[in-house]
Amino acid sequence: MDPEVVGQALSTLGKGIAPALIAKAQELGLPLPAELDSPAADLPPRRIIGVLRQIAGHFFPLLARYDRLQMNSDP
Amino acid sequence: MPARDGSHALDHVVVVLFENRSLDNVLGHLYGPGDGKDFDGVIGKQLSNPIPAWAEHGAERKVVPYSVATDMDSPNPDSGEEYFHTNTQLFNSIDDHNRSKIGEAVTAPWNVPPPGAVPAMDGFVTDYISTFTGETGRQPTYDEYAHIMTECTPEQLPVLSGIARDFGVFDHWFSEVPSQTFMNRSFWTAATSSGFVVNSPIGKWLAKNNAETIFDRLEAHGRTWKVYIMEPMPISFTGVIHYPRLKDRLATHFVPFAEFEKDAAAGTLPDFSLIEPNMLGGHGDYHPAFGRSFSDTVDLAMDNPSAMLAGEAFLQRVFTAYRSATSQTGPNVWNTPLLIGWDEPGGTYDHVPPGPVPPPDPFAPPGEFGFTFDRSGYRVPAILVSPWIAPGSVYNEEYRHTSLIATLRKSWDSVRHSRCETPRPAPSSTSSPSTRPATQTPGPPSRPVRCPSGRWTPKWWARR
Repeated sequence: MDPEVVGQALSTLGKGIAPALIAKAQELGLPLPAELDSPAADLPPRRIIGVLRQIAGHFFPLLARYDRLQMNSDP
Repeated sequence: MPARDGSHALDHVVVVLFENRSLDNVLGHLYGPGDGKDFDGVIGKQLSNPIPAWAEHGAERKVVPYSVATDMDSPNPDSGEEYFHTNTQLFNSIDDHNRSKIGEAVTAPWNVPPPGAVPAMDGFVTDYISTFTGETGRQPTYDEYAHIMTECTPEQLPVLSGIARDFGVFDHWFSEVPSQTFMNRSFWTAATSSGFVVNSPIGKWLAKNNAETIFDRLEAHGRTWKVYIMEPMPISFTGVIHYPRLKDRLATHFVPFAEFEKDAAAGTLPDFSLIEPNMLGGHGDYHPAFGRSFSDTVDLAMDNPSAMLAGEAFLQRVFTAYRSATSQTGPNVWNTPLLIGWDEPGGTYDHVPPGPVPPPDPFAPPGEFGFTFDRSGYRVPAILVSPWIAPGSVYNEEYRHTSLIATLRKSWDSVRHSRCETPRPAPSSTSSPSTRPATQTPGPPSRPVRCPSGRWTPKWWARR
């Protein structure tokens, strides 16, 4: 993941957490979003948050469940 | 029925921890000399910081006087907060080769002050000019760096100030580590940061912070806990910081804040509740701004116009939920105090120098950067809310984050914590406050309280 792209999308803390969680997910063999399959993948800042949410959902499923409920209730 | 004598005032505890503000920065104007309080704020004091001679703009002014903020997104860009920035802020000590450097570009000796140096709290302008230059590639104008020497008034932060005035405020609550978020949050919940002194790289926390936590100890003694996270934050920092210890609890004990609102109203709060504001995109945590230094080409509506104002809104939500806890049989406001705290001051100015502290483990080797954890970070805001607290209370004694664990250990005797056996957080009935300043127990159980009968009523609440 391009650190510059991460930096454009997340706060200082998020910049560090995103790559750490991705690395941990890879270490645990968790399924990752398709965007991360290729190191050369073009991941725009707008998608970083969504990707981070997908990965975070593996670690914090109750927080992800809230996310899904909100998204389903959005018009 | 709730006990009317305060004997159960600490049966349960709720803690919410915000981000990166000093006491002066958000509560410095809470009380002045005319208010009849012994409060160590900024009113009536001539406070300033020197401008370094190498500043390209405004150096001829010599100093930046402390003043009121005119921007609710200040400081922007974010001030430096790592150990090496805090060294500069407290001691005005900056290595020539570290000037205008940030992050991994900073190198040894990490702006460490000379041996025996006493913090003069006079390097905030120096560090902000250096950090601003490192972040943006140019030196700031006087107006751009002067706002590191500003603070908010009660009128600008009515929720925080209103709660502080209606309950009790600590005016000497110090952060534990003169550095960033993760270490200080780890001290709140484990009384150590396992030798880590900066957040990065985050992977080290996931792999190596194996310190026993208050959550482990609560469970070992049959007590319940939850971590409530402000939506839509998809991650708990507590869960990340203590991953080796809590990885098997992430799917059960880390829940959206909406559950706190339900639990409070239903009388089903756990023994210990920890609340995290949103600390990622969409900050609701009072954190200084981070976005304005980014490229103009970023097409993202990432953050609130002000994390301060979003923090106010979230604090009001927390307080409203707390007020709703009036269950006759379960956890309620009479048996559950709310502690509003901060992790670290984040590089915002404060005028009170932090003092020396005993290391959490005197036999441990030095931590990162050779730091031995023998001096604490500087002041952060802390407010204690409970009906047993008289409005307008001010606590002048020194407290630190480990005071929470010390308090729980003392009040919930079964919750003994191995880290609490070390000198730093452990209270002792025979220790003197003058020699163990961080170990006093805050709050209702240890001090005279007034029965809230007749005062703790909906009518009383409604006047806010």
